[in-house]
Amino acid sequence: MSGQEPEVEAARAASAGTEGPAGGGRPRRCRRRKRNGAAWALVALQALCVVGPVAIIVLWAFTSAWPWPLLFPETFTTRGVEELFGPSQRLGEVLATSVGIALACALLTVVVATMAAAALSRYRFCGRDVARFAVLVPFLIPATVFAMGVQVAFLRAGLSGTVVGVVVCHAIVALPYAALIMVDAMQAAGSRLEDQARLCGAGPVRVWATVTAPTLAPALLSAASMSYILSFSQYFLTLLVGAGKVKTLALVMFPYLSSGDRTIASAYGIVFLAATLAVFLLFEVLLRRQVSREIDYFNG
Amino acid sequence: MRLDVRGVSLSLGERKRDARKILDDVSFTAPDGAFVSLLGESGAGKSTLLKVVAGILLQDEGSVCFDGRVVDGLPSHKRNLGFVFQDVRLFPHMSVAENVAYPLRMAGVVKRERLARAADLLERVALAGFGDRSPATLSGGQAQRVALARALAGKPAALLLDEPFSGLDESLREDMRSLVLRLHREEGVTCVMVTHDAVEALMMSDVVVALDAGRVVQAGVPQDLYERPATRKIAASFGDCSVLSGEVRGGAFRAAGLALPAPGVRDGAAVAVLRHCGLSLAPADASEAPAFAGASASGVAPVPSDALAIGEATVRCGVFAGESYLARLDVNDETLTVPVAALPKPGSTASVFADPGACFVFSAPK
Repeated sequence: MSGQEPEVEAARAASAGTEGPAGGGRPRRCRRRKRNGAAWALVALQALCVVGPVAIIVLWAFTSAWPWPLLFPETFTTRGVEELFGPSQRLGEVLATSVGIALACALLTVVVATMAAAALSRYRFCGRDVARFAVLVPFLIPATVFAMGVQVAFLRAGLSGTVVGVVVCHAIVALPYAALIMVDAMQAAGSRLEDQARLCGAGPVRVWATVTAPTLAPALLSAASMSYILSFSQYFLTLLVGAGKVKTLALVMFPYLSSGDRTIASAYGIVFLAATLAVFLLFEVLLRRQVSREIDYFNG
Repeated sequence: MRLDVRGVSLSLGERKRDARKILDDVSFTAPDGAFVSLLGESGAGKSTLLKVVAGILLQDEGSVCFDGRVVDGLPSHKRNLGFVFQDVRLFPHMSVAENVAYPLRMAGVVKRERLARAADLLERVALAGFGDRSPATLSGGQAQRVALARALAGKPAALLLDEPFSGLDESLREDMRSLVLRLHREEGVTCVMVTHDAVEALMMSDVVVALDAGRVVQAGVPQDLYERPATRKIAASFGDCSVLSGEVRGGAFRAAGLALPAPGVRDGAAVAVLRHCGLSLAPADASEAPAFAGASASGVAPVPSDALAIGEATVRCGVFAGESYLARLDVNDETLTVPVAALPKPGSTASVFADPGACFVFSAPK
């Protein structure tokens, strides 16, 4: 999951820089342009940090050797691409498994995180602060320790080596991130609009469907895309819980990295990046466009 | 619909030990079709009371009845009420027309009919043609009118208004008040409005219920509250006034050189509320007369015939307040303000005249 996040952030920063409200007087506009220059410099720096490594991966994917003093590789090969799309790799199948697991994980995570967030932000109950902390515990436990516990538990539950098991354990990892986003969003949104909707005659289910979900849509999408990426880039947990039977892209890619076949590993890296970016763009751009951008939690 | 609130009490707080009694045995009745104001300063519990009526909060004791039917167990979406919050609360993801049509949508009215009725309601709040706009593009007054239209869309049994005008500019408030009163008249719907503005309550209501610290301190027609206020706070809430503390002995209130009749107030520490509109000033003795000569020539202090000379006080200073000057007089450590037509001389002594109907004396709490 190396490169995607900074890139999206960079894109956001760029759009924030250009979308600012139309300036007032002339001196102000002047200052704004200068600030834009600084903003662009920062964005360019960040883009360099992201695009640079990606460019190297692309170069590696089409070369067989890149000895040290050379600035650019001198050999060209399509071996990586051929291998990648060769019948032995079953790329389509692996990709479908990866995307499917990640989407299922995103859905499961968002549903659970939203319910948890609703409970934590709307209800007063005994031990609420403890529960709020407990949601964040997976952050604090080292991944390896967590993975071993999960493996033992899932073996007993018969979930080991199944797609369902992988989805569930990915969801556990993604849950604190999603819950954090949803708790913050729900607390900021408060229950003002929901109270109003109830007074307009809407029952609990319809309040959720017509008011809560649409106003929380941006946060729901953020939580979903975060969970998707976490799941998609998960290697260690997939290996342990999937027991090698569930083959995701990260799982298939790793042996090439460790065995030193950089050409094929890079080719996989490109597919990995493209798949993540494609779905991320779908989440961020297409769905967000459906959601009114004018939603303002504090000024409904 | 007749609304009865009987003995409602409510405590709120994170835990039992820091629970605070917000409402304490509150009872009032809003007759069918009447306009009732809940008047009180912030923290008096008036908004909480409105939320109890709406079913957003559940009272600890007492009951709320609609037309004699107890509705305590009824969730707020089944109470058929219109509610306008102070902070408007339009749904940001819906157009103006969809907002207004929302209660109809919840009532199962088909889309074309509910949009037609929304357009009709928007026209009645002078927002014809605004239906397709987003709530974010509306001004404060426009948004408040949309909220009002939405509250009336479902033909509610009662319209509840929580400080609906306090977020608006002064110039808009007057228009909004007339609009609310017009809609109230046209719809014949029972209205309960929360306000901290006593004058607004006087102008709009059939019945005013004054709350203080979670209790009803006075309820009655506006004239009652104005002429026979039950507490110092109610007396002081209608326009400018001075509050003096002193002592009552034998049916008379005394503070420094002033004495006011205080029939029926028990002996002891007391406070007097003197409304500025009932006060006037005259020079204390002939030697001071020249200082006031110019003033009396321009028609100052034509002391009203029913005014009572209540004593003398020293003028500290005078300030210009547009239509008149205000004389500040020292009474012990407090200030008595009297409107005058010309600036009096600082340091002079003046006689104060007061209309007994504009002065109220209350026993001070220990």
